Amino acid sequence: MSAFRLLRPSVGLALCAVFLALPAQGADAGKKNGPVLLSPSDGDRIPRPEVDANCPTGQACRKIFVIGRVAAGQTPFLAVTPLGASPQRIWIQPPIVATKPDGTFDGFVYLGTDREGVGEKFSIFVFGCPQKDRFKEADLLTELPIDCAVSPPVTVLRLR
Amino acid sequence: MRHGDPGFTVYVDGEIRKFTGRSNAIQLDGSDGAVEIFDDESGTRLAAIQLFEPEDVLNDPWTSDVEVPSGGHLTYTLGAEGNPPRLVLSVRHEAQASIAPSTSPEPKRQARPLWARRVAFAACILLMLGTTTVSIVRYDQLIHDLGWDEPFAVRFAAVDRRVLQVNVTVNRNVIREVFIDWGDSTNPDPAPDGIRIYPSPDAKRYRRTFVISARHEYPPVSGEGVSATARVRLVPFALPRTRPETLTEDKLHHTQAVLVTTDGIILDPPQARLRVAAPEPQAIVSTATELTVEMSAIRAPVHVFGADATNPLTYRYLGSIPPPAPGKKSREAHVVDTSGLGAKGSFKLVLVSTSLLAPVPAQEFPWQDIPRAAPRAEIELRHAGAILEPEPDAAVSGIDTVRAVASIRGQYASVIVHPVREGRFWVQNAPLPALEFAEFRVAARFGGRDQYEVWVALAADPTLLPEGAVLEQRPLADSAGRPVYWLGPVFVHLE
Repeated sequence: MSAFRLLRPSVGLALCAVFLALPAQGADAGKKNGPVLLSPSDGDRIPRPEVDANCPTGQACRKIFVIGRVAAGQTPFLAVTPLGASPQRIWIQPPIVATKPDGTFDGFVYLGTDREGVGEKFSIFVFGCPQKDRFKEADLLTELPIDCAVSPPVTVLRLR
Repeated sequence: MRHGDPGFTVYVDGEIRKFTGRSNAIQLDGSDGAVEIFDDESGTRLAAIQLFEPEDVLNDPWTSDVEVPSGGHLTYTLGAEGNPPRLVLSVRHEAQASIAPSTSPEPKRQARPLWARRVAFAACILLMLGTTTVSIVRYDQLIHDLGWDEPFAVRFAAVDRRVLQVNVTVNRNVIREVFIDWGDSTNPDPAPDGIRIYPSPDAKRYRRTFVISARHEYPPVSGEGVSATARVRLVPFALPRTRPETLTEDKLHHTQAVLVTTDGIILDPPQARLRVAAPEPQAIVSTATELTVEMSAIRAPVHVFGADATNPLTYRYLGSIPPPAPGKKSREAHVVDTSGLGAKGSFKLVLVSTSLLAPVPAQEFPWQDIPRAAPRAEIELRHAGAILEPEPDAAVSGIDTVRAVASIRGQYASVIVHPVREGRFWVQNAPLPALEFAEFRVAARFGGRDQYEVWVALAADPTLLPEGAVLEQRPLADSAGRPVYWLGPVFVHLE
């Protein structure tokens, strides 16, 4: 009886610790597994030195390569919204050809046209969707999809 | 407080008045009005002094005092000196320690009893808990003392044809830095978050506030002008954990939409709106598609493009609509030729208002070449079907084949030939049950030398257009009120 009395606070503390730890683990897991755009980074200026070498010097740089990651079982889609557009418009970009085993992928996105978009900011998203044919290139959305996981936006400034 | 710094500032009619000599005295003129004393550290107003006639205080100086929030005690005296007498304000600031009575020798330090230590401990805990509340109250009090709703004010003004000016007034005790991003696409700011304009030697101080003024000239523009959003970002000093309402993120990030036109800068320009009011989405339309387009604050031509569902990445230019007069709205009907679209399903009409494109008829654009931030409207439509043969302007023989496809179910197809000079409509066949997306052929008979229109009618009533019937005009509905869908016309001539 006395041993139980001694143990009881410890058991309670342990249960509390487990209870408090559970949501934190879940949150970490979600953060780790959600879709994310790895490159470019938020605040980058386009063209990025060394990275956007495909943009000819002195000419418009409207197409850039990006790297992203999605969780296992998700199909990645890239989307771009020009911040200058009102109302909001989100454009689905050319499809991702393949996803690596670790969930990372390469792709490219368009930031405006040759004559439109210079000096403007664009937000780039990665959508991780359960369906492979959820979107098609050039689809126009007015809001973020609720049936797909959406990465935090990465906003870049196109300088030329 | 710095050594030698009095710790307070006297303003006379809004301007700092410095003390003369070493006596913290200020001579006042008869024309002086408001006299105020502010604590340098907290920024609070300590006193507003009502001026007297010099004669009234010549022999009987008026004295008052006030506690200073940052510590100490302020005594100020309004008197008069000289001949003729002139008002003199003298102010004396004493630190708390120097005015504390010290009439008895310092008692010997003794060990505090246990209850006193417990009380002190409890007081410490309460003090810690109250810190956040106190800091919020201090901020609120500080802001409230300003007499404003906000501890800052941001005002934009168009000061020249292409010059935008911003005036930012900040409380120096609340706001630490101010940044401006002009949103000029031709000249992006060198720093990602804008240029820092405060603190700056150019800022003008007025009591506890600084007034910062900055200007930017946008480049020459043409056409519909260039839209931009100027952004002011205010960075406050360290804030309590719970922010005062006046310092929310929204309020600290001030934006101003501008439209730079050839005539000047428009602040808060009306939002451009482009809408297809008719037909309804997914409606079945003829190849001469009539669109009712609503335009508001549209400044550039509206280009109409068509994109077939089978090839949505390519936009075909179909025509343009001129913008309404500046400041006017419009709602007008326009007809575009959509033949060749929707042969195997739906198609999309995309309207884009831009002067960045100068398309020519039938020119095709990849989707990514269409400006994406320009005013835009889209509508998905369907054709009832399409005439595949003969092609427009083809030469036909006396009896020739008409080939067509229907895109809707449950219809009966009739081919009709319309000699333009003769003027009537000749039904060529007994109505055929048309299967969805299945081609059908009919041998049509053309008469004498004339220009002909070839039509295909799709009707739900198989008895509406019997073979050999000659009609004065095309029926648009059957006896039950169901619509008759007309494909065409395709203009041909006899070879």
